[in-house]
Amino acid sequence: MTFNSFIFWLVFPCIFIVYWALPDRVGGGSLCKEEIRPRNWFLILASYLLYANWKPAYTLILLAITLLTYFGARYIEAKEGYRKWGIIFTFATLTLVPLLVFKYYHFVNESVWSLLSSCGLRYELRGLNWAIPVGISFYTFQALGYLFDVYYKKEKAEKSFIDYALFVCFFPQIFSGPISKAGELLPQIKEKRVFKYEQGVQGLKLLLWGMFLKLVMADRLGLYVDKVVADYAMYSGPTCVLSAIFYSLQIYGDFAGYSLMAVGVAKLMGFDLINNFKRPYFSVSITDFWRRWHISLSRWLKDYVYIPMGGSRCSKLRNYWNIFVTFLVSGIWHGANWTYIVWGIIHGVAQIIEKALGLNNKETKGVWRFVRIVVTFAIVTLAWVFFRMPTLGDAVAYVGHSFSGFGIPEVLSVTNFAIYVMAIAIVLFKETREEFFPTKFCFLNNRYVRWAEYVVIFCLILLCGALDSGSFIYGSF
Amino acid sequence: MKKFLINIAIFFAIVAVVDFSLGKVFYWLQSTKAKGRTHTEYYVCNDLKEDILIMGSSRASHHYVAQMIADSLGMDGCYNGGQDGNGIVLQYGRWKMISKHHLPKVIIYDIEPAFDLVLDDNVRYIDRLKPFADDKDVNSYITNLYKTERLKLESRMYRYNYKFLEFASDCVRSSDVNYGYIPNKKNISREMIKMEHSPDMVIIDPIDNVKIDCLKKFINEAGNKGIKVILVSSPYWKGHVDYDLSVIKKMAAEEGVPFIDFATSEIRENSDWFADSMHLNEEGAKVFTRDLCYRIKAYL
Repeated sequence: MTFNSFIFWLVFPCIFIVYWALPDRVGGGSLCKEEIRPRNWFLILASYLLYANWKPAYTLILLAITLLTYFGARYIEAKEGYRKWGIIFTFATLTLVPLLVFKYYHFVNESVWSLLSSCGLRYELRGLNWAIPVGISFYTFQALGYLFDVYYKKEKAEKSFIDYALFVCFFPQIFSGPISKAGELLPQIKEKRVFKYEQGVQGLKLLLWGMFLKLVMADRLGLYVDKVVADYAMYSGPTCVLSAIFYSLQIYGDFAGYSLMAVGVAKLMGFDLINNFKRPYFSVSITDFWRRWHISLSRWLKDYVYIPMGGSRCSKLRNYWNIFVTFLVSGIWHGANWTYIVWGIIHGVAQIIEKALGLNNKETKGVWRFVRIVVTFAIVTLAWVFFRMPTLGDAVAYVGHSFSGFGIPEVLSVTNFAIYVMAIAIVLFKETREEFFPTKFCFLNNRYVRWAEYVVIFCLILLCGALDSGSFIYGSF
Repeated sequence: MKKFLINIAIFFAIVAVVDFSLGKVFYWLQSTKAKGRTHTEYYVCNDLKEDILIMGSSRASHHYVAQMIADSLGMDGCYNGGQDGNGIVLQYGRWKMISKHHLPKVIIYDIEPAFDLVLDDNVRYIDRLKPFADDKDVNSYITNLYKTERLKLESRMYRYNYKFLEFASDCVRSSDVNYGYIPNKKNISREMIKMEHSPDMVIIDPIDNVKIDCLKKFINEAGNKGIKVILVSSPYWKGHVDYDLSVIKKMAAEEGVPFIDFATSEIRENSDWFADSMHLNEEGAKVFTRDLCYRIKAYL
């Protein structure tokens, strides 16, 4: 059940009311010595029910990963000595099995088949006609991160299974992240939660803005992008370029919108999750882009792939190799297709070039900064083409076709285009203000202006949003 | 918590006032000011007077020259109520409104398999009915198909979602002089002409029972009111895939209504008469309408 579904908005107020009506903890006194946390129990129940709403059987996978990493971490902590590496390897591999089977079986099967058939051998394994469990990449990585943290002794193994189960299944983040670290979320699960007005208001604001990004910007732009991508050979080069730019904005609106809603819902339940986005399209380099885009995944890859490989504390060549491998993993994480792998490679190679040229951490101002923002956006947009197209051949053909001919891009639908322009202008204004003029436009902080903003945004969602549009792009990862 | 809940209640109270006010404005735009397709839609549902009504998708709106049909069949007017990207799920909802104020003598329904047979989520087809949800029958038709719509339709802004922009832009259009028919001025592209035609016939499987059910109900209800319903499959360009329409043929035979299929018509051969592989252009529409009127006379 995703945040943009109507059913969720019928169910969520009930969850909210019951959750806050329950006592934070009971027992612990002379009558009942063991302390029980009804709110945590209720959150686990709600999370599993919401997850089961999609495919009930897949809750078993969620439970299996929870059990495996919970007991794995305790076992790792209890063991000392050289065998520890073998134990973490075994538990990490077992944790990854469902992800590998559901997500990569087809890809490996097809790739092996293509390879063998090019050698004249025709052997194919039976296909699995199973849907990928929603959010499996996210909760697997979150649980795996905890396991590594215990292995590296950054965290102590969690003793309470209930607290740990909630850490893995917490419903605001289970479908598409953000991927939390045990050190951030587990203490919040353990501490006494009281409703804070400011936190609740902040949560609602994030929810509202997330809905706007998703329903008004992303889903509307998606209508244009889907139409052009499905039949790109029939459209002019400039139309394909515009569609690629729109896709960059669509995927941002879609994923950042979801993340904001997740953070917002979590705030309403008294939790603070990591902010996954920080105006990524104002990045001055690809390195900068990954500090602002899907921050929780970037951090995960840095902590558990890049640094264990040696990070930057090694030779230049080895460092380049580490960057390359990290982004290769990022590409593979996104999906079982060569298009995602090439997407990851483009980002990896671009970062290596930036590092070699010393552009990765260089501060820039004025026109040069603007030029770098535009160039970074162009590279990111090019990479998104590979991310969006179904095959590598299509992606290459799309890029080639984009450079054919000049002219004005086709609008396709004037009314829809009016919504794109309006939505992009609103997002651009808000993000430009936050990025470049955080202390300007103080009148916008006036209480009545703020309320007017909220009402206008809510009305725009109802009037212009692509309601009932369905899933999130990252929901399938 | 109390302050938080009070503020939420105030917020929704403000939204409710805005929602109600905008709903009134949009209805006024739709019913009195808008021209173009918005006017066609409103006119068909509330003010139709003509003897012949065309229903179907964009193929209906581009293929049937209303004035020619009325003149050729010697009846008191013909109106084209075809709607882009829609099929029977929308048209059956409209029929519920039309049948309350006017009964045409003939209804020509243009079959488009993508919208009348293929199994998909029908929620998008009820979208254009939402502004008419004050009509009890339309409201119950929508809510029977999708239960959650009952709550959503309480919001006027939801009803006019996206469509209000069409209404606004239709306010500055010139009046419709073609009785709902939209001439397509384009010509089929050279790239499309070069594309190879697949000789295989596309069998639609699975078939959407909701659509078939709507089609049957529509034929029955119209027939019971003495209206002659004629099903037509207007021509595709020869390069377009051929659909197996045996389901429609069988249903037409069962329901006792004529089905005129242009699958073997010579019109398909001439690319000069097409705007794209699915739509006839203005010249092609005239040729088709002439041919259709000739064939229809046999059933009247």
